[in-house]
Amino acid sequence: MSTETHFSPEAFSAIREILAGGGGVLAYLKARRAIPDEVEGTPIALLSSHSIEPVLPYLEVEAFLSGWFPIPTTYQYSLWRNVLADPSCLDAKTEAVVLLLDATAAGEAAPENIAAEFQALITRFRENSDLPLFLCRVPVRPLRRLSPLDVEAGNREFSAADSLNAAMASAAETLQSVYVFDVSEELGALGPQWYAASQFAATMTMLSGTACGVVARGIARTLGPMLVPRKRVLVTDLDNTLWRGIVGEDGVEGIELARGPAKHFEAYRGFLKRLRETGVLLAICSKNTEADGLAVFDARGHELGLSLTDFAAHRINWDDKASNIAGMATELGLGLDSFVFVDDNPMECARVRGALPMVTVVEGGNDNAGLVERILETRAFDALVLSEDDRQRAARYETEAARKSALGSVTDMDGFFAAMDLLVTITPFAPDNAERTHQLLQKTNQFNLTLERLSPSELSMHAKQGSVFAISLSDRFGDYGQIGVVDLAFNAEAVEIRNFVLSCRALGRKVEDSVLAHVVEIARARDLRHVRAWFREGPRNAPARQFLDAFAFSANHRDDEGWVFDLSVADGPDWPDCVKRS
Amino acid sequence: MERQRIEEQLREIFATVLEIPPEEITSDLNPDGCEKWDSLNHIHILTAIDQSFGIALELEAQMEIMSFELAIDVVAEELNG
Repeated sequence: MSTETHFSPEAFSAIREILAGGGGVLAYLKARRAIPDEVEGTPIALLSSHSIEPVLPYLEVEAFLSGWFPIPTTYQYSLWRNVLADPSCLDAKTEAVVLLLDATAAGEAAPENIAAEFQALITRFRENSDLPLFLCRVPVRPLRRLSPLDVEAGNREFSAADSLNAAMASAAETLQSVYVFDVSEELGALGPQWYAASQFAATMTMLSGTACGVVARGIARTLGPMLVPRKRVLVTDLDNTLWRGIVGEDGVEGIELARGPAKHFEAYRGFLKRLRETGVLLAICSKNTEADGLAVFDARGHELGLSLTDFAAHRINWDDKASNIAGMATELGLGLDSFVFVDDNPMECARVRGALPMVTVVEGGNDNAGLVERILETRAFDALVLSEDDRQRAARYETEAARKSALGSVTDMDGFFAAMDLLVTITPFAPDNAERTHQLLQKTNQFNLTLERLSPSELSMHAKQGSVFAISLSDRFGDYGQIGVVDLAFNAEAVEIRNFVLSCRALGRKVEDSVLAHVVEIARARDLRHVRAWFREGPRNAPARQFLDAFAFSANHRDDEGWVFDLSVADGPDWPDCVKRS
Repeated sequence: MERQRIEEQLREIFATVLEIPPEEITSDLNPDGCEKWDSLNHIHILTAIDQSFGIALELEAQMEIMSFELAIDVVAEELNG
């Protein structure tokens, strides 16, 4: 269950302020004490070939900045193999396992055997546990060469690290829920002192203080997206944010787009383009005469590297930006808490922060210097996997406009749905839909019966105990991909809908009718008389409540978790005629 | 660096790591008499000394820091020779 209330903007800024005074161990220890006590934690296991305990206070702070809080269990550095080989010794509540190795982890194994042994170990872990496993690429420790000719130095270290890293990459490719993350670049940037040689001998703690912070940040940002929904929209200002200069004053040809003093603007636009490719929606909010703003895209779109169609929404006018952003949230059907706003003007930033505290605001700063890094540092767009669906979503919103206008002329609803060529596919939970299924449960806020944010391990537990189905939709305009999840449990008299989420893109297309019909069919096949649905009211899930009312579910009883609604199977709907199934 | 300045900075380090008020830190404060002074916090103290004074202590010196007073001695020795 989410505990967003404790991750308040105030707590974040208090901690950021402490760390801004220097990222040393004292700052982290002080920042650790600024984390609210009530914050709910996620149990994780940290396995490593060196003593990892010194990282813990850093990890608590860095995880908090990523919107979660760890309850870590650490194991003695010599035990990581044993735990991987026998995951039953992990605490039952563990949500994820992180493995941090150094090159000595390969031990005395012959170089040609290192990869095979490691891969066998990971495979064995996967056979015995469903927990997500996060592997940190092995960093190479700094070398002491006697001279530039001393190329033999570190050979063993390099080959062990290479073998382990290759085995990790291959495990991530072939095994479910195995991920590789990398902090070696950031460690290298600290210089050779990231490696605490004198401590390593005595205490097996390999990481210097600043390196502890780097590794902690890597873990925090890697696991964060598993636990915290990713932001979905970046709203950008235009003048002195997307380009250098003011189009209304300098003219379309007068503003600077690239190189020289405008180089950071060019980098920012490149970053936006990459974000868009990972499924983030872009939008514009600018105080300008609309014709002036649009003229830049018309006349210099090629130089910009972004066209107007890359933006899912825009507001170029003289109205208040907070209202404009709220309007775009409605237009896109997304909550404001999935928005990030970027503007060079501190006044506009302050206004949006004040009016819309759930929006993440990033200031452009002087000529956009460091802007991309500041956006990354909010961690708003960190993603566990950049799924195929994410990449396609940005393109899909654009065809939605075409879809809406094509359908505007049809008034007869049944004829309308028939003309849509709706096809709903309901398939059991399986490795190939696990990531998308988890993601939908994480980020669906409107059509969501319980708002329960299942972790990957809870999800696979539900699938084992009951039935979890992935719901996909296509129509004559294209394929939406997987747009929903229904999570069922069974008891002696009823099919229980424990969770049911549908992406808002799919609402109003008879998908909810089809899914309920499917659930009713399951109930009939099992000779059960009732369909029960769990419901918990949240700030924005009215559409889910409307679904229960539309199908005449009646409120049955209330328990600690919320309401249980009941529908007699006899009153359940049949599969809609206008929807095809596969 | 003056011994008094070193002592002030170390007091801040010990107070932050061990979570005790600076004025309660006596020169004979040691791991036996202070529950919070465990091996992990010892590492945090060494890290903080490294970061505050810019000195990476050798293993022998790290192990010598067995009281607040000894910490001042070790750092002063390292800085001033």
